[in-house]
Amino acid sequence: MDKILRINMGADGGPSIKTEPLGDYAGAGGRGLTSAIISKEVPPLCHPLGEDNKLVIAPGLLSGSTAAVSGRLSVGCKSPLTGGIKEANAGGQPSQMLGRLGYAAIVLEGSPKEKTLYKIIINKDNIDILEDNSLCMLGNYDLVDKMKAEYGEKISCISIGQAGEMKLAGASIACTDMELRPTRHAGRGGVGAVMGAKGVKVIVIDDDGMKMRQPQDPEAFKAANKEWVAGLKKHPVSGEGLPAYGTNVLTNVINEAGAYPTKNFMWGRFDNCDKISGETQAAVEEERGGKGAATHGCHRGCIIRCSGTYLNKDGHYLTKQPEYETVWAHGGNCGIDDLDAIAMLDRLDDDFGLDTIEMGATIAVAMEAGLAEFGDAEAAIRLVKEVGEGTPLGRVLGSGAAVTGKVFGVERVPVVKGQAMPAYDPRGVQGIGVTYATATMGADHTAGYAVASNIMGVGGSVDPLKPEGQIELSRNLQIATAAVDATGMCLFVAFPVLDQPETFQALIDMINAFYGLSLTADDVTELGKSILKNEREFNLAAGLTSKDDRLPEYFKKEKLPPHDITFMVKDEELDEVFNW
Amino acid sequence: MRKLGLVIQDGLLPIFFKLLQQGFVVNAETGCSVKDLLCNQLGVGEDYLQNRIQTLFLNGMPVDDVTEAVIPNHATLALSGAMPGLVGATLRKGGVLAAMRNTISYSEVQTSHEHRVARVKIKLFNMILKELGPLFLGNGVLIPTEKFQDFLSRHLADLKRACSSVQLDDRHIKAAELESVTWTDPEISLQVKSDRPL
Repeated sequence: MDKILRINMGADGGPSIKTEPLGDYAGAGGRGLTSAIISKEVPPLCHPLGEDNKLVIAPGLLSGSTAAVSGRLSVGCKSPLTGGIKEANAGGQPSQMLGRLGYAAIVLEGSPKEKTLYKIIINKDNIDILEDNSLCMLGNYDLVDKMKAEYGEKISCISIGQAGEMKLAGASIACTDMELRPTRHAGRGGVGAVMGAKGVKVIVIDDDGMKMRQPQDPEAFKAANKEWVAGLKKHPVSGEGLPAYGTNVLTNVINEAGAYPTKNFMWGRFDNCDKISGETQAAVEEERGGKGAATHGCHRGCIIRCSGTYLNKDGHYLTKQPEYETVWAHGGNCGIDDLDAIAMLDRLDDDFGLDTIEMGATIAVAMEAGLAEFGDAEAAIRLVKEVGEGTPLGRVLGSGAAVTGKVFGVERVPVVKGQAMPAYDPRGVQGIGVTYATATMGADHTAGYAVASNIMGVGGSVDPLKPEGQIELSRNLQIATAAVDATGMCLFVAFPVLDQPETFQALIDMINAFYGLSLTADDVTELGKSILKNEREFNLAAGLTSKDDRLPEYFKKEKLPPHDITFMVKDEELDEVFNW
Repeated sequence: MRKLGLVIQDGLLPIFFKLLQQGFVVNAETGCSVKDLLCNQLGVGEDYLQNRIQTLFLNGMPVDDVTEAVIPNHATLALSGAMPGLVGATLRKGGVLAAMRNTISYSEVQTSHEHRVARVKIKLFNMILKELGPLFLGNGVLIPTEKFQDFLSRHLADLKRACSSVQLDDRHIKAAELESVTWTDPEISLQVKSDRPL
């Protein structure tokens, strides 16, 4: 993984290819690499859909190796949704395959001069960029079937659906899973629209003939990986809760805490949440698909296995196990308590190539605007289908919650920097509100996710019972998360790392053994800080200011039942998050 | 209130778990700590409480100290394992991220507590549902009749197949007869035991 593949889609005479060594970017991976390239090479004031923006696709530092759960793929660009820098990531097979092919990143540059759709085929011998307008307005499922028929079943695909082709700000980029289905999505920030603007419908990756990447110190790497795997398996979150119920295990718990945004963030509890909980979902999946249907990895090498397969009532595949955020966005947030309808919405989102969080939040705003009744699942499905069909209403909805709120005159629009909030009400959990407000990516639940300050040693220790700790915690978590994102590790490694110092050390040992380095925990912290610094500086140059680091005003005024609280963190405290 | 006692094939116990996820009632002495209620009255092991029940809510408020949080009358207590996600970690009892949800955390304000037997609603989630479900079902729980009737309509065939004993109030009946039982009270007392004892 020592080269960058640059494809200029706007070159004279058609797309041109250049492969170059990592150079100044050596040692960077995942989000560390995407944000470094974007912040250095993309003019902050450029139009996100214009020729000066770049789409960077980067495997993590350990992708393509035997390191467990190392298959996250980062996608970076200037976001058409937030106007700032964006990194969205996804599981699936492409990250491992790109790593084995030796690519630290693919960078799509320029804009095609003609309205032509391309597919890019990458294998160990060639890179082909082919015009293929027959792919125009295909959904991701049909597209992948077509690629499978042409290039065999051992490929993986990175693709966009109709939403990306229409350059809608809610468009995602799909990555295929182990079954070659387009179910894992780099969802946030409209990255799919940027891929659409580059005229690229699909990147087909074939790593046939390539071997696992080899570490510089095989023995030390093997020992660290063994410790790493043991740490993940013995922890109750990564070893038990997630494999048994998937991420939707959170529904009952967040609801009980009164922090489950319900009917467009009007309430903190959803009465029928047990009908869509992870416990219920797993039971349905096992009833229809047999024991083990709720236990599934999203890529080879995953030992957490938090995904699953959702069959319809007739026993036919409908979609992968919908994630917590999806079940919330299309479920409780829209007042919908029908798991089959939610699974259908997940399928439509995956097929059209849409961010499920953004779409769920958008449909809820549309419901508040009166386009449908809360709880009307059929209406929600109809609205999402409008997006795929590209009707005028569908294009408004596909542009996200903020645009939809403006078009229909809705005040209660839960966005920060134009990006919809995920499934935790910031009035219930005020610390997540700090992260929503200040994250470089817009409202993002994964921005401050990972390792606690007492392990990372960032900024001293925090008294967990003092309110002012929220600022420091959010800062530390954002730093740590940026570092984890650079490794390509699934974020669910955060919990074993949080609770088990030996597991955190095993992660550092793996990176050191693989690259022949001698990083310490402090170095990892510095890596996280440098990533955030790059991103923050890009956003400032793009015109985002501290005034964009705020929650919508209504969170400070409207009390959230059942705890009847508002968001109480002061603006001046929010401004301290990046003051390190 | 009608009392229903079932002895059922061990493998079928999980079909009752959905009822426990929605919440059930036990009569217990209140005015005591969460730890006293769970360990001394309801039979949960102290090690289990400390190590497996990582997230607790008392009336919707995350609890950090199970020895200080006091059970009021008509309390709702929800029990969960360790949860993923930043917010999942934030809600964990006594966790380093507790500050992030301090506005909803349980804090004790009363100085004296009356001890009396009263209703306590308990909800079991995720791994705790699997692990403590058999204990609570074996001890007996109070379930809303409406929920039980809904359960019965979906699982009568399972009960007919897998129940080795059905006792309604003071008499033994066949599982098939459950279909014609008149349930008039708002709650029923349900006890379910496995044919393979714990």
